[in-house]
Amino acid sequence: MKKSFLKYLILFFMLPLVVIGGSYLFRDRQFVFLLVCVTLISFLPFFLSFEKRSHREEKIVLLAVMVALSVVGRVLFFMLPSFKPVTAIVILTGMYLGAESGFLCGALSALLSNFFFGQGGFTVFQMLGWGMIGVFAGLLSVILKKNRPVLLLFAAFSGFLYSMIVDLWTVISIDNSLNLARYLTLLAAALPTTIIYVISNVLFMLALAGPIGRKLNRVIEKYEI
Amino acid sequence: MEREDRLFFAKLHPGVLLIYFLCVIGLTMFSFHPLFSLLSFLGGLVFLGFLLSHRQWLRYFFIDLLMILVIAVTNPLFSHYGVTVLFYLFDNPVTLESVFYGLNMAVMLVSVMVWFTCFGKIIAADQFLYLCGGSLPKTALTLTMAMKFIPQFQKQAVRIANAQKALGVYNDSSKKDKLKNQLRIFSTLLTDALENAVITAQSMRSRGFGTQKRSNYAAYRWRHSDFAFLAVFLLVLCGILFSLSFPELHFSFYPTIAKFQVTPVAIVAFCCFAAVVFLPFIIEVKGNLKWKFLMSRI
Repeated sequence: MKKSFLKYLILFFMLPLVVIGGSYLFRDRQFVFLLVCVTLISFLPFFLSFEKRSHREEKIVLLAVMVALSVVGRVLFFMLPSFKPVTAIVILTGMYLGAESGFLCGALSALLSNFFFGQGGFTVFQMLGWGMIGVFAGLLSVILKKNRPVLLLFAAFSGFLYSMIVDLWTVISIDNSLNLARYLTLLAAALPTTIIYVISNVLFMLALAGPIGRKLNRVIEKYEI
Repeated sequence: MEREDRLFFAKLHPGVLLIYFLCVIGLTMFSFHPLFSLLSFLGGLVFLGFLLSHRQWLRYFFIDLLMILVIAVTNPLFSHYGVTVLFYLFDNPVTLESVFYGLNMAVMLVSVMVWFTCFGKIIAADQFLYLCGGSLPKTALTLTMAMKFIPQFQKQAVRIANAQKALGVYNDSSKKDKLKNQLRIFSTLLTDALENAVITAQSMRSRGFGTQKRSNYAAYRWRHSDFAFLAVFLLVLCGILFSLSFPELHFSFYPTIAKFQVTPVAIVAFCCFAAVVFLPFIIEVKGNLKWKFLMSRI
Protein backbone atom coordinates (compact mmCIF):
# COMPACT_ATOMS: atom_id res chain seq x y z
CA MET A 1 0.00 0.00 0.00
CA LYS A 2 2.72 2.40 1.06
CA LYS A 3 4.81 1.53 -1.95
CA SER A 4 2.02 2.08 -4.46
CA PHE A 5 1.18 5.39 -2.82
CA LEU A 6 4.80 6.44 -3.28
CA LYS A 7 4.59 5.39 -6.91
CA TYR A 8 1.63 7.68 -7.59
CA LEU A 9 3.25 10.50 -5.65
CA ILE A 10 6.36 10.21 -7.83
CA LEU A 11 4.21 10.08 -10.94
CA PHE A 12 2.26 13.13 -9.78
CA PHE A 13 5.32 15.25 -9.04
CA MET A 14 7.50 13.93 -11.82
CA LEU A 15 5.65 15.69 -14.62
CA PRO A 16 5.80 19.26 -13.26
CA LEU A 17 9.34 18.71 -11.96
CA VAL A 18 10.62 17.50 -15.31
CA VAL A 19 8.76 20.23 -17.17
CA ILE A 20 10.04 23.08 -14.99
CA GLY A 21 13.57 21.80 -14.37
CA GLY A 22 14.16 20.60 -17.91
CA SER A 23 12.88 23.70 -19.62
CA TYR A 24 15.12 25.82 -17.40
CA LEU A 25 18.32 23.81 -17.85
CA PHE A 26 17.86 22.98 -21.52
CA ARG A 27 16.57 26.40 -22.55
CA ASP A 28 17.68 26.13 -26.18
CA ARG A 29 16.02 22.78 -26.79
CA GLN A 30 13.22 22.83 -24.25
CA PHE A 31 10.53 21.81 -26.71
CA VAL A 32 12.41 18.68 -27.78
CA PHE A 33 13.20 17.81 -24.18
CA LEU A 34 9.59 18.21 -23.08
CA LEU A 35 8.31 16.22 -26.03
CA VAL A 36 10.53 13.24 -25.19
CA CYS A 37 9.91 13.39 -21.43
CA VAL A 38 6.16 13.90 -21.57
CA THR A 39 5.82 11.09 -24.11
CA LEU A 40 7.86 8.72 -21.94
CA ILE A 41 5.94 9.67 -18.79
CA SER A 42 2.65 9.15 -20.63
CA PHE A 43 3.66 5.52 -21.20
CA LEU A 44 4.04 4.92 -17.47
CA PRO A 45 0.34 4.55 -16.52
CA PHE A 46 -0.09 1.83 -19.16
CA PHE A 47 2.90 -0.14 -17.92
CA LEU A 48 2.05 0.37 -14.25
CA SER A 49 -1.56 -0.73 -14.65
CA PHE A 50 -0.39 -3.78 -16.59
CA GLU A 51 1.93 -4.62 -13.70
CA LYS A 52 -0.73 -4.10 -11.08
CA ARG A 53 -3.72 -5.87 -12.51
CA SER A 54 -3.85 -9.63 -12.16
CA HIS A 55 -4.06 -11.24 -15.56
CA ARG A 56 -4.62 -14.79 -16.62
CA GLU A 57 -1.32 -16.31 -17.62
CA GLU A 58 -2.72 -16.91 -21.11
CA LYS A 59 -3.07 -13.19 -21.70
CA ILE A 60 0.59 -12.50 -20.93
CA VAL A 61 1.79 -15.34 -23.13
CA LEU A 62 -0.56 -14.36 -25.97
CA LEU A 63 0.73 -10.81 -25.74
CA ALA A 64 4.29 -12.11 -25.93
CA VAL A 65 3.33 -14.18 -28.98
CA MET A 66 1.83 -11.16 -30.74
CA VAL A 67 4.91 -9.02 -29.97
CA ALA A 68 7.20 -11.78 -31.25
CA LEU A 69 5.05 -12.22 -34.37
CA SER A 70 5.23 -8.55 -35.26
CA VAL A 71 9.01 -8.53 -34.76
CA VAL A 72 9.40 -11.70 -36.83
CA GLY A 73 7.06 -10.16 -39.42
CA ARG A 74 9.38 -7.18 -39.64
CA VAL A 75 12.28 -9.58 -40.24
CA LEU A 76 10.39 -12.01 -42.51
CA PHE A 77 9.45 -9.30 -45.01
CA PHE A 78 12.93 -7.81 -45.10
CA MET A 79 13.03 -7.97 -48.90
CA LEU A 80 10.14 -5.50 -49.15
CA PRO A 81 11.14 -2.29 -47.32
CA SER A 82 8.37 -0.58 -45.29
CA PHE A 83 6.02 -3.42 -46.25
CA LYS A 84 5.50 -4.83 -42.76
CA PRO A 85 2.69 -6.61 -40.92
CA VAL A 86 3.42 -4.87 -37.58
CA THR A 87 0.53 -2.39 -37.70
CA ALA A 88 -1.98 -5.06 -38.71
CA ILE A 89 -0.88 -7.31 -35.85
CA VAL A 90 -1.02 -4.44 -33.36
CA ILE A 91 -4.55 -3.54 -34.48
CA LEU A 92 -5.71 -7.15 -34.19
CA THR A 93 -4.15 -7.44 -30.73
CA GLY A 94 -5.95 -4.29 -29.62
CA MET A 95 -9.23 -5.56 -31.03
CA TYR A 96 -9.17 -9.01 -29.45
CA LEU A 97 -7.10 -8.57 -26.28
CA GLY A 98 -8.18 -5.03 -25.33
CA ALA A 99 -6.84 -1.49 -25.52
CA GLU A 100 -4.17 -2.00 -22.85
CA SER A 101 -2.77 -5.06 -24.60
CA GLY A 102 -2.94 -3.17 -27.90
CA PHE A 103 -0.80 -0.40 -26.47
CA LEU A 104 1.69 -2.82 -24.95
CA CYS A 105 1.91 -4.86 -28.15
CA GLY A 106 2.62 -1.73 -30.21
CA ALA A 107 5.07 -0.15 -27.78
CA LEU A 108 6.96 -3.35 -26.96
CA SER A 109 7.18 -4.39 -30.63
CA ALA A 110 8.82 -1.06 -31.47
CA LEU A 111 11.21 -1.28 -28.51
CA LEU A 112 12.19 -4.91 -29.09
CA SER A 113 12.53 -4.80 -32.87
CA ASN A 114 14.77 -1.74 -32.62
CA PHE A 115 17.25 -3.84 -30.67
CA PHE A 116 17.68 -5.63 -34.02
CA PHE A 117 17.22 -2.69 -36.39
CA GLY A 118 18.98 -0.02 -34.29
CA GLN A 119 17.70 2.27 -31.53
CA GLY A 120 17.35 6.01 -31.79
CA GLY A 121 15.33 8.94 -30.51
CA PHE A 122 12.65 7.79 -32.94
CA THR A 123 12.13 4.59 -30.89
CA VAL A 124 10.05 6.61 -28.40
CA PHE A 125 7.81 7.89 -31.19
CA GLN A 126 7.48 4.54 -32.90
CA MET A 127 6.36 3.25 -29.50
CA LEU A 128 3.88 6.12 -29.27
CA GLY A 129 2.61 5.63 -32.83
CA TRP A 130 2.07 1.89 -32.67
CA GLY A 131 0.87 2.10 -29.06
CA MET A 132 -1.76 4.69 -29.97
CA ILE A 133 -2.93 2.59 -32.92
CA GLY A 134 -3.32 -0.36 -30.53
CA VAL A 135 -5.29 1.74 -28.04
CA PHE A 136 -7.63 3.07 -30.71
CA ALA A 137 -8.16 -0.43 -32.07
CA GLY A 138 -9.05 -1.61 -28.57
CA LEU A 139 -11.49 1.24 -28.00
CA LEU A 140 -13.19 0.74 -31.36
CA SER A 141 -13.10 -3.05 -31.16
CA VAL A 142 -16.89 -3.51 -31.28
CA ILE A 143 -17.22 -1.64 -34.59
CA LEU A 144 -14.01 -3.02 -36.06
CA LYS A 145 -14.94 -6.63 -35.36
CA LYS A 146 -18.36 -6.29 -36.98
CA ASN A 147 -17.56 -4.17 -39.98
CA ARG A 148 -14.80 -5.31 -42.34
CA PRO A 149 -14.66 -2.16 -44.57
CA VAL A 150 -14.32 0.06 -41.46
CA LEU A 151 -11.48 -2.17 -40.26
CA LEU A 152 -9.67 -1.77 -43.58
CA LEU A 153 -10.24 1.99 -43.47
CA PHE A 154 -8.87 2.08 -39.93
CA ALA A 155 -5.79 0.13 -41.07
CA ALA A 156 -5.23 2.59 -43.92
CA PHE A 157 -5.66 5.55 -41.57
CA SER A 158 -3.16 3.98 -39.14
CA GLY A 159 -0.53 4.09 -41.88
CA PHE A 160 -0.97 7.87 -42.17
CA LEU A 161 -1.09 8.34 -38.40
CA TYR A 162 2.13 6.40 -37.88
CA SER A 163 3.95 8.32 -40.59
CA MET A 164 2.73 11.66 -39.22
CA ILE A 165 3.79 10.89 -35.65
CA VAL A 166 7.29 9.72 -36.56
CA ASP A 167 7.84 12.69 -38.89
CA LEU A 168 6.63 15.01 -36.16
CA TRP A 169 9.60 13.87 -34.11
CA THR A 170 11.99 14.41 -37.02
CA VAL A 171 10.85 18.01 -37.46
CA ILE A 172 10.77 18.93 -33.78
CA SER A 173 14.16 17.32 -33.13
CA ILE A 174 15.63 19.49 -35.89
CA ASP A 175 13.87 22.82 -35.36
CA ASN A 176 12.88 22.70 -31.67
CA SER A 177 9.47 23.88 -32.91
CA LEU A 178 6.88 22.73 -35.37
CA ASN A 179 8.37 24.17 -38.56
CA LEU A 180 5.39 23.70 -40.83
CA ALA A 181 7.35 24.14 -44.06
CA ARG A 182 9.79 21.38 -43.11
CA TYR A 183 7.01 19.15 -41.77
CA LEU A 184 5.03 19.38 -45.00
CA THR A 185 8.17 18.82 -47.09
CA LEU A 186 9.06 15.77 -45.03
CA LEU A 187 5.53 14.41 -45.28
CA ALA A 188 5.61 14.94 -49.04
CA ALA A 189 9.04 13.30 -49.30
CA ALA A 190 7.82 10.39 -47.20
CA LEU A 191 4.63 10.06 -49.26
CA PRO A 192 5.82 7.01 -51.25
CA THR A 193 6.73 5.26 -47.98
CA THR A 194 3.45 6.31 -46.41
CA ILE A 195 1.56 4.92 -49.40
CA ILE A 196 3.45 1.63 -48.99
CA TYR A 197 2.48 1.65 -45.29
CA VAL A 198 -1.16 2.20 -46.18
CA ILE A 199 -1.20 -0.46 -48.91
CA SER A 200 0.66 -2.98 -46.76
CA ASN A 201 -1.62 -2.33 -43.78
CA VAL A 202 -4.70 -2.89 -45.90
CA LEU A 203 -3.28 -5.97 -47.61
CA PHE A 204 -2.08 -7.52 -44.36
CA MET A 205 -5.41 -6.72 -42.76
CA LEU A 206 -7.24 -8.41 -45.66
CA ALA A 207 -4.98 -11.44 -45.37
CA LEU A 208 -4.65 -11.66 -41.58
CA ALA A 209 -7.94 -10.33 -40.16
CA GLY A 210 -9.73 -13.58 -41.01
CA PRO A 211 -7.19 -16.15 -39.82
CA ILE A 212 -5.75 -14.22 -36.84
CA GLY A 213 -9.21 -13.08 -35.76
CA ARG A 214 -10.65 -16.58 -35.95
CA LYS A 215 -7.70 -18.17 -34.19
CA LEU A 216 -7.50 -15.56 -31.44
CA ASN A 217 -11.25 -15.71 -30.95
CA ARG A 218 -11.15 -19.46 -30.69
CA VAL A 219 -8.38 -19.43 -28.10
CA ILE A 220 -10.04 -16.63 -26.13
CA GLU A 221 -13.41 -18.37 -26.05
CA LYS A 222 -12.02 -21.83 -25.40
CA TYR A 223 -9.85 -20.77 -22.47
CA GLU A 224 -12.04 -17.84 -21.31
CA ILE A 225 -9.26 -15.26 -21.38
CA MET B 1 22.57 -7.66 -31.64
CA GLU B 2 25.64 -9.63 -30.59
CA ARG B 3 27.02 -7.88 -27.56
CA GLU B 4 30.57 -6.58 -27.53
CA ASP B 5 31.80 -7.85 -24.16
CA ARG B 6 35.53 -7.98 -24.68
CA LEU B 7 35.77 -4.24 -24.03
CA PHE B 8 36.87 -3.00 -20.63
CA PHE B 9 34.07 -0.44 -20.60
CA ALA B 10 31.43 -3.10 -21.30
CA LYS B 11 32.46 -5.00 -18.16
CA LEU B 12 30.76 -2.39 -15.99
CA HIS B 13 27.35 -3.18 -14.52
CA PRO B 14 24.58 -2.79 -17.16
CA GLY B 15 22.74 -0.35 -14.88
CA VAL B 16 25.76 1.94 -14.84
CA LEU B 17 26.12 1.63 -18.60
CA LEU B 18 22.45 2.44 -19.20
CA ILE B 19 22.61 5.53 -16.98
CA TYR B 20 25.80 6.63 -18.73
CA PHE B 21 24.42 6.27 -22.25
CA LEU B 22 21.06 7.87 -21.47
CA CYS B 23 22.76 10.86 -19.83
CA VAL B 24 25.27 11.36 -22.63
CA ILE B 25 22.59 11.05 -25.32
CA GLY B 26 20.27 13.35 -23.36
CA LEU B 27 22.94 16.01 -22.78
CA THR B 28 23.95 15.91 -26.43
CA MET B 29 20.39 16.09 -27.67
CA PHE B 30 19.09 18.77 -25.35
CA SER B 31 21.99 21.15 -24.80
CA PHE B 32 22.51 23.04 -27.98
CA HIS B 33 25.96 24.50 -27.46
CA PRO B 34 28.24 24.02 -30.52
CA LEU B 35 31.21 22.94 -28.39
CA PHE B 36 29.06 20.34 -26.61
CA SER B 37 27.93 18.93 -29.95
CA LEU B 38 31.48 18.80 -31.27
CA LEU B 39 32.91 17.19 -28.10
CA SER B 40 30.16 14.63 -28.05
CA PHE B 41 30.72 13.82 -31.72
CA LEU B 42 34.48 13.33 -31.20
CA GLY B 43 34.04 11.35 -27.99
CA GLY B 44 31.52 9.00 -29.56
CA LEU B 45 33.59 8.59 -32.70
CA VAL B 46 36.85 7.66 -30.94
CA PHE B 47 35.01 5.16 -28.76
CA LEU B 48 33.30 3.69 -31.80
CA GLY B 49 36.82 3.00 -33.09
CA PHE B 50 37.03 0.17 -30.53
CA LEU B 51 33.70 -1.27 -31.62
CA LEU B 52 34.11 -1.32 -35.41
CA SER B 53 36.84 -2.54 -37.71
CA HIS B 54 39.00 0.17 -39.35
CA ARG B 55 37.15 -0.12 -42.63
CA GLN B 56 33.71 -0.01 -41.04
CA TRP B 57 34.78 2.95 -38.95
CA LEU B 58 36.07 4.91 -41.95
CA ARG B 59 32.84 4.20 -43.84
CA TYR B 60 30.82 5.29 -40.84
CA PHE B 61 32.91 8.45 -40.55
CA PHE B 62 32.38 9.44 -44.20
CA ILE B 63 28.64 8.77 -44.00
CA ASP B 64 28.52 11.04 -40.93
CA LEU B 65 30.38 13.83 -42.72
CA LEU B 66 28.07 13.52 -45.71
CA MET B 67 25.00 13.71 -43.48
CA ILE B 68 26.35 16.79 -41.72
CA LEU B 69 26.96 18.46 -45.08
CA VAL B 70 23.50 17.63 -46.41
CA ILE B 71 21.67 18.87 -43.31
CA ALA B 72 23.75 22.05 -43.09
CA VAL B 73 23.14 22.88 -46.77
CA THR B 74 19.41 22.15 -46.72
CA ASN B 75 18.59 23.94 -43.44
CA PRO B 76 18.48 27.47 -44.97
CA LEU B 77 15.77 26.26 -47.34
CA PHE B 78 13.45 25.67 -44.39
CA SER B 79 14.33 28.35 -41.89
CA HIS B 80 14.74 31.97 -42.87
CA TYR B 81 15.54 33.48 -39.49
CA GLY B 82 18.73 35.47 -39.05
CA VAL B 83 19.78 38.91 -40.23
CA THR B 84 22.86 38.27 -42.40
CA VAL B 85 21.39 37.51 -45.80
CA LEU B 86 23.87 35.77 -48.10
CA PHE B 87 21.67 35.59 -51.20
CA TYR B 88 18.10 34.97 -52.27
CA LEU B 89 16.90 31.61 -53.51
CA PHE B 90 13.40 31.43 -55.04
CA ASP B 91 12.57 34.75 -53.35
CA ASN B 92 13.58 33.34 -49.96
CA PRO B 93 16.56 34.66 -48.05
CA VAL B 94 19.43 32.29 -47.31
CA THR B 95 21.03 33.50 -44.10
CA LEU B 96 24.44 32.87 -42.59
CA GLU B 97 22.87 32.18 -39.19
CA SER B 98 20.66 29.49 -40.63
CA VAL B 99 23.68 27.76 -42.24
CA PHE B 100 25.51 27.69 -38.90
CA TYR B 101 22.39 26.58 -37.06
CA GLY B 102 22.09 23.72 -39.55
CA LEU B 103 25.74 22.83 -39.09
CA ASN B 104 25.45 22.69 -35.31
CA MET B 105 22.23 20.73 -35.49
CA ALA B 106 23.74 18.28 -37.96
CA VAL B 107 26.75 17.62 -35.72
CA MET B 108 24.37 17.14 -32.80
CA LEU B 109 22.08 14.73 -34.67
CA VAL B 110 25.00 12.71 -36.00
CA SER B 111 26.63 12.45 -32.57
CA VAL B 112 23.34 11.22 -31.10
CA MET B 113 23.35 8.59 -33.86
CA VAL B 114 26.94 7.63 -33.06
CA TRP B 115 26.13 7.25 -29.36
CA PHE B 116 23.06 5.15 -30.14
CA THR B 117 25.28 2.89 -32.25
CA CYS B 118 27.65 2.48 -29.28
CA PHE B 119 24.62 1.85 -27.04
CA GLY B 120 23.39 -0.91 -29.37
CA LYS B 121 26.81 -2.58 -29.39
CA ILE B 122 27.30 -2.42 -25.62
CA ILE B 123 23.81 -3.02 -24.23
CA ALA B 124 21.90 -5.96 -25.70
CA ALA B 125 18.22 -6.66 -25.20
CA ASP B 126 18.79 -9.22 -22.44
CA GLN B 127 20.64 -6.73 -20.26
CA PHE B 128 17.93 -4.19 -20.79
CA LEU B 129 15.41 -6.81 -19.64
CA TYR B 130 17.54 -7.66 -16.64
CA LEU B 131 17.35 -3.99 -15.67
CA CYS B 132 13.57 -3.66 -16.09
CA GLY B 133 12.99 -6.95 -14.27
CA GLY B 134 13.15 -5.23 -10.89
CA SER B 135 10.59 -2.47 -11.37
CA LEU B 136 8.44 -3.81 -14.22
CA PRO B 137 8.52 -7.59 -13.75
CA LYS B 138 5.49 -8.46 -15.89
CA THR B 139 6.59 -6.27 -18.79
CA ALA B 140 10.06 -7.76 -18.58
CA LEU B 141 8.57 -11.25 -18.54
CA THR B 142 6.47 -10.48 -21.63
CA LEU B 143 9.50 -9.12 -23.45
CA THR B 144 11.66 -12.05 -22.38
CA MET B 145 9.09 -14.52 -23.67
CA ALA B 146 8.77 -12.56 -26.90
CA MET B 147 12.55 -12.67 -27.28
CA LYS B 148 12.55 -16.40 -26.78
CA PHE B 149 9.75 -16.75 -29.36
CA ILE B 150 11.58 -14.76 -32.06
CA PRO B 151 14.31 -17.31 -32.95
CA GLN B 152 11.83 -20.12 -32.30
CA PHE B 153 9.35 -18.65 -34.80
CA GLN B 154 12.11 -18.03 -37.33
CA LYS B 155 13.16 -21.66 -37.17
CA GLN B 156 9.54 -22.78 -37.28
CA ALA B 157 8.93 -20.56 -40.33
CA VAL B 158 11.79 -22.31 -42.16
CA ARG B 159 10.36 -25.69 -41.19
CA ILE B 160 6.89 -24.74 -42.41
CA ALA B 161 8.35 -23.40 -45.67
CA ASN B 162 10.25 -26.65 -46.24
CA ALA B 163 7.15 -28.69 -45.50
CA GLN B 164 5.12 -26.65 -47.98
CA LYS B 165 7.86 -26.99 -50.60
CA ALA B 166 7.79 -30.74 -50.12
CA LEU B 167 4.00 -30.73 -50.46
CA GLY B 168 4.34 -28.87 -53.75
CA VAL B 169 2.43 -25.73 -52.74
CA TYR B 170 5.49 -23.56 -53.16
CA ASN B 171 5.77 -21.26 -56.14
CA ASP B 172 8.06 -18.26 -56.45
CA SER B 173 7.73 -17.32 -60.10
CA SER B 174 6.24 -13.86 -59.44
CA LYS B 175 6.22 -11.31 -56.67
CA LYS B 176 2.55 -11.96 -55.97
CA ASP B 177 3.17 -15.68 -55.47
CA LYS B 178 6.11 -14.95 -53.21
CA LEU B 179 3.90 -12.76 -51.07
CA LYS B 180 1.17 -15.40 -50.96
CA ASN B 181 3.73 -17.97 -49.85
CA GLN B 182 4.93 -15.75 -47.04
CA LEU B 183 1.38 -15.11 -45.90
CA ARG B 184 0.54 -18.81 -45.89
CA ILE B 185 3.64 -19.54 -43.83
CA PHE B 186 2.75 -16.71 -41.47
CA SER B 187 -0.78 -18.01 -40.97
CA THR B 188 0.43 -21.54 -40.23
CA LEU B 189 3.03 -20.16 -37.86
CA LEU B 190 0.33 -18.28 -36.00
CA THR B 191 -1.89 -21.31 -35.40
CA ASP B 192 1.07 -23.22 -34.07
CA ALA B 193 2.23 -20.30 -31.91
CA LEU B 194 -1.18 -19.71 -30.30
CA GLU B 195 -1.62 -23.37 -29.40
CA ASN B 196 1.85 -23.43 -27.88
CA ALA B 197 1.15 -20.21 -26.00
CA VAL B 198 -1.83 -21.73 -24.23
CA ILE B 199 0.20 -24.80 -23.28
CA THR B 200 2.97 -22.55 -21.92
CA ALA B 201 0.42 -20.57 -19.91
CA GLN B 202 -1.12 -23.71 -18.43
CA SER B 203 2.32 -24.93 -17.51
CA MET B 204 3.07 -21.58 -15.87
CA ARG B 205 -0.12 -21.75 -13.84
CA SER B 206 0.51 -25.30 -12.69
CA ARG B 207 3.89 -24.15 -11.41
CA GLY B 208 2.34 -21.41 -9.35
CA PHE B 209 2.87 -18.30 -11.46
CA GLY B 210 1.65 -15.18 -9.68
CA THR B 211 1.36 -16.74 -6.24
CA GLN B 212 4.50 -15.00 -5.10
CA LYS B 213 6.75 -12.20 -6.13
CA ARG B 214 9.00 -13.25 -8.98
CA SER B 215 12.61 -13.62 -8.04
CA ASN B 216 15.16 -12.94 -10.71
CA TYR B 217 18.50 -14.38 -11.50
CA ALA B 218 21.11 -11.68 -10.99
CA ALA B 219 23.91 -12.42 -13.39
CA TYR B 220 25.54 -9.07 -12.78
CA ARG B 221 27.10 -8.02 -9.52
CA TRP B 222 27.90 -4.52 -8.36
CA ARG B 223 31.65 -4.25 -8.04
CA HIS B 224 33.79 -1.54 -6.50
CA SER B 225 34.68 -0.27 -9.96
CA ASP B 226 30.96 0.20 -10.74
CA PHE B 227 30.43 2.31 -7.63
CA ALA B 228 33.56 4.31 -8.33
CA PHE B 229 32.57 4.96 -11.93
CA LEU B 230 29.01 5.91 -10.97
CA ALA B 231 30.18 8.25 -8.18
CA VAL B 232 32.62 10.10 -10.41
CA PHE B 233 30.13 10.23 -13.26
CA LEU B 234 27.27 11.57 -11.14
CA LEU B 235 29.53 14.19 -9.60
CA VAL B 236 30.62 15.45 -13.01
CA LEU B 237 27.03 15.26 -14.25
CA CYS B 238 25.84 17.45 -11.38
CA GLY B 239 28.57 19.92 -12.30
CA ILE B 240 27.33 20.05 -15.90
CA LEU B 241 23.67 20.40 -14.91
CA PHE B 242 24.55 23.13 -12.44
CA SER B 243 26.56 25.05 -15.01
CA LEU B 244 23.70 24.74 -17.51
CA SER B 245 21.72 27.09 -15.28
CA PHE B 246 24.15 29.89 -16.21
CA PRO B 247 23.49 31.96 -19.33
CA GLU B 248 27.02 31.42 -20.74
CA LEU B 249 26.13 27.85 -21.68
CA HIS B 250 23.23 28.92 -23.86
CA PHE B 251 24.23 29.74 -27.35
CA SER B 252 21.75 31.42 -29.65
CA PHE B 253 21.97 31.53 -33.43
CA TYR B 254 19.01 33.78 -34.17
CA PRO B 255 18.76 36.63 -34.95
CA THR B 256 22.57 36.94 -34.87
CA ILE B 257 25.11 34.33 -33.87
CA ALA B 258 25.99 34.86 -30.21
CA LYS B 259 29.50 35.64 -29.11
CA PHE B 260 31.37 32.58 -27.86
CA GLN B 261 31.67 33.29 -24.15
CA VAL B 262 34.60 31.87 -22.23
CA THR B 263 33.97 32.38 -18.52
CA PRO B 264 35.19 30.23 -15.61
CA VAL B 265 31.80 28.49 -15.41
CA ALA B 266 31.85 27.74 -19.12
CA ILE B 267 35.40 26.35 -18.95
CA VAL B 268 34.47 24.08 -16.05
CA ALA B 269 31.37 22.90 -17.95
CA PHE B 270 33.36 22.18 -21.12
CA CYS B 271 36.02 20.25 -19.18
CA CYS B 272 33.35 18.24 -17.34
CA PHE B 273 31.51 17.42 -20.54
CA ALA B 274 34.74 16.47 -22.31
CA ALA B 275 35.58 14.19 -19.37
CA VAL B 276 32.17 12.54 -19.62
CA VAL B 277 32.23 11.86 -23.36
CA PHE B 278 35.86 10.70 -23.45
CA LEU B 279 35.45 8.49 -20.36
CA PRO B 280 34.81 5.21 -22.27
CA PHE B 281 37.75 5.95 -24.58
CA ILE B 282 40.04 6.65 -21.63
CA ILE B 283 38.94 3.47 -19.85
CA GLU B 284 39.65 1.46 -22.99
CA VAL B 285 43.09 2.98 -23.55
CA LYS B 286 44.02 2.60 -19.89
CA GLY B 287 42.87 -1.03 -19.87
CA ASN B 288 44.81 -1.84 -23.03
CA LEU B 289 47.98 -0.20 -21.72
CA LYS B 290 47.72 -2.06 -18.45
CA TRP B 291 47.16 -5.32 -20.32
CA LYS B 292 50.20 -4.73 -22.52
CA PHE B 293 52.32 -3.79 -19.52
CA LEU B 294 51.31 -6.92 -17.61
CA MET B 295 51.90 -9.08 -20.68
CA SER B 296 55.38 -7.60 -21.14
CA ARG B 297 56.34 -8.68 -17.63
CA ILE B 298 55.52 -12.34 -18.16
